[in-house]
Amino acid sequence: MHPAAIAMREPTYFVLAALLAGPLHGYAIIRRAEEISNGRVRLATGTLYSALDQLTTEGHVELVREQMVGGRVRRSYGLTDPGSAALRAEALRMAEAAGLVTEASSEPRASRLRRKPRTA
Amino acid sequence: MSPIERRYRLLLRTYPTSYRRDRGEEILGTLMEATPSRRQWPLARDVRALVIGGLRARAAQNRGRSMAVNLRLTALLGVAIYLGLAAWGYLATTFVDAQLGGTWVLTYRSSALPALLAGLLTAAAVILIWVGRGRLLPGGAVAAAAAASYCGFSHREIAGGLGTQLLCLAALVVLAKRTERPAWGWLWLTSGIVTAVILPSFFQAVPFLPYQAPSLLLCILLVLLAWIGIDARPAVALGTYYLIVSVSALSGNAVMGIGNWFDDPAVLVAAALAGLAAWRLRRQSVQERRDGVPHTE
Repeated sequence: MHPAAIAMREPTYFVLAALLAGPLHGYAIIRRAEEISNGRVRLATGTLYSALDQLTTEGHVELVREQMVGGRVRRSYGLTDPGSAALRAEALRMAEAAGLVTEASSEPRASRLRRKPRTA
Repeated sequence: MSPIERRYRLLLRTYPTSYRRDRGEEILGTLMEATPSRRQWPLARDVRALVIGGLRARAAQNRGRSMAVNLRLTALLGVAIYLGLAAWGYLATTFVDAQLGGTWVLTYRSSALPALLAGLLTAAAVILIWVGRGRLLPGGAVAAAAAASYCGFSHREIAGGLGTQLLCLAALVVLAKRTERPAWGWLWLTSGIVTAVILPSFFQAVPFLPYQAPSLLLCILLVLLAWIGIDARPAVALGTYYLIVSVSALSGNAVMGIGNWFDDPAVLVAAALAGLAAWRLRRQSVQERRDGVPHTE
């Protein structure tokens, strides 16, 4: 099955997108997702770990580093090659879908302008 | 430990124990980092995400079984819910409301010893599905059947649906005979459903109703609904339970010569509910391919 045959859920997409720049730990993923979406996507911690579980099972994300911070384990996750491919495929799919609307809405206007009769 | 950390730890209990052992501290660390320092209570969206995430993790834990095993275990759960409520029915008749000094209090009815015994033995038989080994479960089920039968013949007013109870106790032994057992989390589900059903009557009986009671009941119901929405297994179990209840009621009516199977839609509705849930269960189970190699959808 093509990686992007089934549309990704928004949190999953932004978790993968947050990891594009390099491995991050849980809270850093939340911050990065918020940053790259201009504050629109604010992942709840429970949602983040559900997405990470799913992505790890699918092999799109992997555990990169484990360290102890303030007596608690902090794990950093990184994007795998299949994860990166799935993210790009999803971005392409969304761009194509967006193109259907943006091109369709600009085309009639342009054709109307072309057909507009000249007035002397 | 700060109050908010204590509350987060409580919410993390919606995740399975093994999951919590592995990732609990990591999730807690992220939650604490994401929470402003002065905050005392978790945000509503964090509560919702943790409860749903925990239930999803529980559902994922159960997805390693084949459809046949899942169906047998969920039918067992439906039978367990029926028997759990039957046990409560017996225990409820053991205590009666009495007015003492102008206040209504619950008092023990000494004449209802057989009902107390039947209730406790039936509840024990249900719990033995999870903890019973070898002959313990059949032994417990036989003892519960004997006590229920004694109640049925000596105190007809407190033993409703005796035939169904005996059939359910037999089904309990047959369905729980093999090596696979329901997950421990399902014991909580059974207890949750039984609690959600009996709490309203319990609150009615208690004169000093705590003000949190309706919120508690609402929370239990919401978590149960979320669980049913996420995991098909409890939905099949509830469908099985309603099928048992409606078939039992219709059979009782048929014996008395009132009503008929086609006039009452209860059986059809229960069967449709169980069928739909079983269809969802098939999608959530490990699929056996023709060559015998299991794979998931």
